[in-house]
Amino acid sequence: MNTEIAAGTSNLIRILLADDHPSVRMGLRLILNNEPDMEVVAEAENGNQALELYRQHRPTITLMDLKMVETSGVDSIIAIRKEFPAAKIIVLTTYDRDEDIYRSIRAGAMGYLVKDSAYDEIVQTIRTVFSGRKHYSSRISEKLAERLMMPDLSEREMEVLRLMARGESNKEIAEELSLALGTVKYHINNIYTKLEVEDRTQAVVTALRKGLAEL
Amino acid sequence: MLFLFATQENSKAAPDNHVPQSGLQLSSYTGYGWATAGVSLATVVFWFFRTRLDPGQASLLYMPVVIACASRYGFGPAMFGAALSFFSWDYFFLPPSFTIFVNSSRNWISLAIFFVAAVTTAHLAATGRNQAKKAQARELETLMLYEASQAISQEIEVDRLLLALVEQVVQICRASRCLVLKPAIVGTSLEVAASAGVSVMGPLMEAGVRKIAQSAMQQNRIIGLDAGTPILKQFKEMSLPAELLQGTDQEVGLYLPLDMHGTPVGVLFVGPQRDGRFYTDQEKRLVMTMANHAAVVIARQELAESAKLQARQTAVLDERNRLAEEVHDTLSHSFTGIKFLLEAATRIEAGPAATECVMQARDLAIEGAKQARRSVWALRPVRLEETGDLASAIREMAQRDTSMSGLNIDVQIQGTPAPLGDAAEENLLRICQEAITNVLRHARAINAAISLCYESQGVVLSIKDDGIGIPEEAAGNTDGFGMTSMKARAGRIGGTLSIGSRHPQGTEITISMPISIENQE
Repeated sequence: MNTEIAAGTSNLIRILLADDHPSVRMGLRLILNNEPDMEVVAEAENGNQALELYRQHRPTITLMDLKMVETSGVDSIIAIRKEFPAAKIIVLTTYDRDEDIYRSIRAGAMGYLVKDSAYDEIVQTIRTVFSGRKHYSSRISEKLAERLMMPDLSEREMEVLRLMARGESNKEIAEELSLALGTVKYHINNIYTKLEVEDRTQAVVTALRKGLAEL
Repeated sequence: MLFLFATQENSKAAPDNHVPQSGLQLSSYTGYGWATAGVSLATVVFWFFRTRLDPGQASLLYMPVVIACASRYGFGPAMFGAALSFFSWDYFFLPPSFTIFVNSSRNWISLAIFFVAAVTTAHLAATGRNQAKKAQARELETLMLYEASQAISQEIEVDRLLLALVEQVVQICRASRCLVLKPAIVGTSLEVAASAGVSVMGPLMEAGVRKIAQSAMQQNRIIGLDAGTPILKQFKEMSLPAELLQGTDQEVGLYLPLDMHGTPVGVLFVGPQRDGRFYTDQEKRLVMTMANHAAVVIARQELAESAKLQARQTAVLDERNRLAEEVHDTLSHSFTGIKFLLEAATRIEAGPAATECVMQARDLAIEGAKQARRSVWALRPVRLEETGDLASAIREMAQRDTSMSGLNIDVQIQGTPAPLGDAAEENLLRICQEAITNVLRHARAINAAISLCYESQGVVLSIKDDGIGIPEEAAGNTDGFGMTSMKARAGRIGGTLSIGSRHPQGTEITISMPISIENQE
């Protein structure tokens, strides 16, 4: 019912901001409200709150940060899209790591913006997505393509890689995942091959750069 | 047959009671002497009583001599004694005396029976003696191996293991010298990793040992060179290239590749025995057993090396992670905020809202600069080796990291400080530092206290503050507060980390670490 009313009120773009940084929210609210066709209707500081406020306000566009305390942006996108499959969500984040882009788009984000994008690009993307199309900058598309070229790491390999990034030794990884030491080494070799790296440090650095593992 | 070595340094024969002897021959000369002496004595004694005794009773004196020879010197001397007795008895006592003829058939039968009995007894006694000797040798071998492995396993420091091993080889095998050669890095040429025994070795000789060791390793087979045969001939027999000899001195001895799952990881070289003898098969087995030990030791060393390397890599990664997190949490956050605020201020109409944006941006810039300064301090780690002990390092870190923040910090050390090992102290210091960073960033606390308590069972480190605590909604997921890396660190040193936080009454982080031998290493 609410949506009908919202849709009915001409072409006003009703926006939900989800970002844990108050200054970012304040700046965005002020500029977006300054646009004649836009209005920030709610602000969330974490992923859970974003879902709640989405239910409450049914915004037409959601700007979502990826790195928030508690539920991450990607999990939040998945949760919102599960309940509202038509939700139009744009990622607005600090990072443009391959894996973040890949996972966001797989989760259903229709746009991907980094926070240092020019203001006009942000507004333009909001309008494009509002009209029902997807919008990614050429740089983001390039990175997505690069990510798609990379052979997928298996679930297990991802687990191993994340533990490697946390600085754990093979023995510790084996214990944590209840695997034999040999199996861990086997996975690590596969990871090296897939990431096209030669040693542990390179693997972890690549993983962090591409966003395959978090700090 | 005796092997004599050209390189023999020590010509006095060492007492032969350690290792089963290769030569029955050497001692048997003495045996023949004793047999002659025994038979002569028996003959003289019987000569004095010859008038009072029946000549047939002479066998009663000869038989003990034969038995004694058999049990003491083996079959050869016993047989010699038996033959000597036979003729002495016949010659001196059996009529007609002083001839080898015997006139009565009864005496013939006595002689024959004596001879058969003597041979049988000698044989039995000698067999028994040999078996006893073998058993004794085996027992000795087992004992020596036991003592060697005992000595090696008691060596705690991996780096000294090889040295302990070569020393044992020199002792057990009575070798003139023993070396372990292994490549410093896989694939490079061999270098002496440990040596014992006669230590002075000329450069030419060392070059020779290395060359032959290299080919023993390449072909993964044992090379034994003894000085009794010309080296060139031995080389030909083993189809070794004669070029190996060029420009080097040849060192005779045994070259054993150290085999680890079919791949040689080094070579054990033993020089000739101190008394110049070459190794018997049994002694070779002993050396081979020690070579197996050496292979295991090298494998253990490599494992320790790779663990060290991994620990270093982990430390580098930890530091990199800390840096990245620090930069993200302070600088990038501030700049992004400032950017959006200023963007808004320039786009909206001039007025109170725009002014508010600028003011906020300014505050954020000031705060960011302050944080950046703090980060730079925090990123320069307090070095344990500079402060000497954990307690001082924690004091210095706490004082330095909080000096610009206005947080009151109190550091208490309880119990008797004891060294906990580098890894444990380093990790405890970093946990402490991360906890303090968290307090500064998130807790909005006025006071914080660090306590480090040394107990007999272990140490307890706790960091307490009177800030806002961990917000309830984030309590289930504390990863965002740097807890993951603190927990990982605690786990790495065999400790446990617990978080006590009752919003809004501050946070307490406690790390308990049992004191173990491993940590004290």
